[in-house]
Amino acid sequence: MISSFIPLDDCLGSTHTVRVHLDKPITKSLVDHLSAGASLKYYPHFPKPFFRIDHPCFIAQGVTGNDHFRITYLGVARPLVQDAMWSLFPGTTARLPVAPGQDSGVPTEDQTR
Amino acid sequence: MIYLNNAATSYPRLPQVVEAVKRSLLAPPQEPGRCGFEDPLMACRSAIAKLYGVADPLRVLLTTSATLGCNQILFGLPLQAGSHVITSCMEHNSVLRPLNELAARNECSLSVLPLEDDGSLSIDRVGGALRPDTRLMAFVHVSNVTGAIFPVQALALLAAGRNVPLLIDDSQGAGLVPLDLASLPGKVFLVAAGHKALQGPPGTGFFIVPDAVSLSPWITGGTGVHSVEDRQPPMLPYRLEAGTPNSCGLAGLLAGVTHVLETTPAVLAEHRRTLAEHLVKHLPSPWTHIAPGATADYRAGVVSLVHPTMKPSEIGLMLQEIYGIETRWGLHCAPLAHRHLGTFPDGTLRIGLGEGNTIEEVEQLIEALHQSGNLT
Repeated sequence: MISSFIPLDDCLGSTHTVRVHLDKPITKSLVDHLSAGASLKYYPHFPKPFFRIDHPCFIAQGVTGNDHFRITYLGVARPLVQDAMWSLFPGTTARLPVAPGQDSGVPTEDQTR
Repeated sequence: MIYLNNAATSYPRLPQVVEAVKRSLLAPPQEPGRCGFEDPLMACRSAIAKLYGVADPLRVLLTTSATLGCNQILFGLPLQAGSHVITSCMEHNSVLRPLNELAARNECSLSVLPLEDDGSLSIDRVGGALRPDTRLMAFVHVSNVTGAIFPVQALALLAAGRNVPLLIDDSQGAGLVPLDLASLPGKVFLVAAGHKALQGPPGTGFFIVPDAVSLSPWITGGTGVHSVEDRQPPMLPYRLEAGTPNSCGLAGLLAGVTHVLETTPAVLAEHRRTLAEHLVKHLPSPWTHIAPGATADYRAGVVSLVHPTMKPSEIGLMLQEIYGIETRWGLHCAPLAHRHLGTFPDGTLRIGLGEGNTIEEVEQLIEALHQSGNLT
């Protein structure tokens, strides 16, 4: 399950980068789970095995053994990425952070009336 | 962790800087004019003045960042419609954005000069850009992207010859590449950050002015003194410093600058140069680096790397997560530099070497670059 999303702003304006924190270390089987329907590159020869998953709406990168990985996505894809995270990690309630100027996706009080 | 992001912020903090901040916070409040104690900031001004050969420490204005200093200078100068400003493609956004804001308000027009093919800034090109209506030249001293060192002495001579003020952004060179302001002719403004090679805490910076009257106050407000005045007091530093200062941060900056003065910029730069040259000499294929100008002067300890196929952000993450090596990837707040260098929009992987780094750490970086840059 995802415990939190931590925004990692950088100076590249076109994408959003978020560190996804999990409640347990990443295993190879979790990497395989994450890469279902996506393209996986896995490099086990590094001191810590590194993975890159090219999902249709985000890129996930990290190393097995850590309790976090990084996702990068275009701002417009945020709702799709949010759905994907919730689907990949059932039980997750954490929400992707909203970048400045980005619609939170949460209906305002007016919109719910 | 191997920390190689010193071009952004120095780390680890010097113990004396930490101690100075702690001591300041634990002492009774010392904000000048507000607490009945002796002004603790004068020592910081004096140390910075000594670093730059400035006789009057009151010409050193303490602020919270180089960006704020740039804004105070650029918005404090009498630029107006019809004013022309010359700058370069290597500037940081701390200079570029205020200039672009002024241009958008039609308060100046800009000439942004490219570098020559060998990475140098041509004084002839700058001279050729001067116009009768040129009211400012604004140049970085040391590029935060490549470490290239600009010819400040020649720029000052050129500007003084045309009676044009010169703004020097010394954020990356401060404490490493000496500048003697007393030897520079004309009206010279200098701005720098405190948290890089000067080893101060984040949230510290300063700017130096040639006199008390060239700038109008851009920020006005409380000074703790001359409270009866209905406008900003006319004398330095109050004319250009308003608001409660970051006393504890500036106490840390004083400790950092004192360290630089005692160790000397030459020694500090030589260490960085040695490490940077070792990295460049042993850079594994297929990496390339962007040379810091024709003279390949690595005193700033900045080495910008490019991989032919992998993005800096991806390599940076691999270095961070696999090897525990902290670098900086991206545009480094200098987008025009990357457009000029052909590294836009992904930028470069910047290695910022610091005085805490060792040859052994650079060796580990080289091995990590070799492994991560040769995926099969």
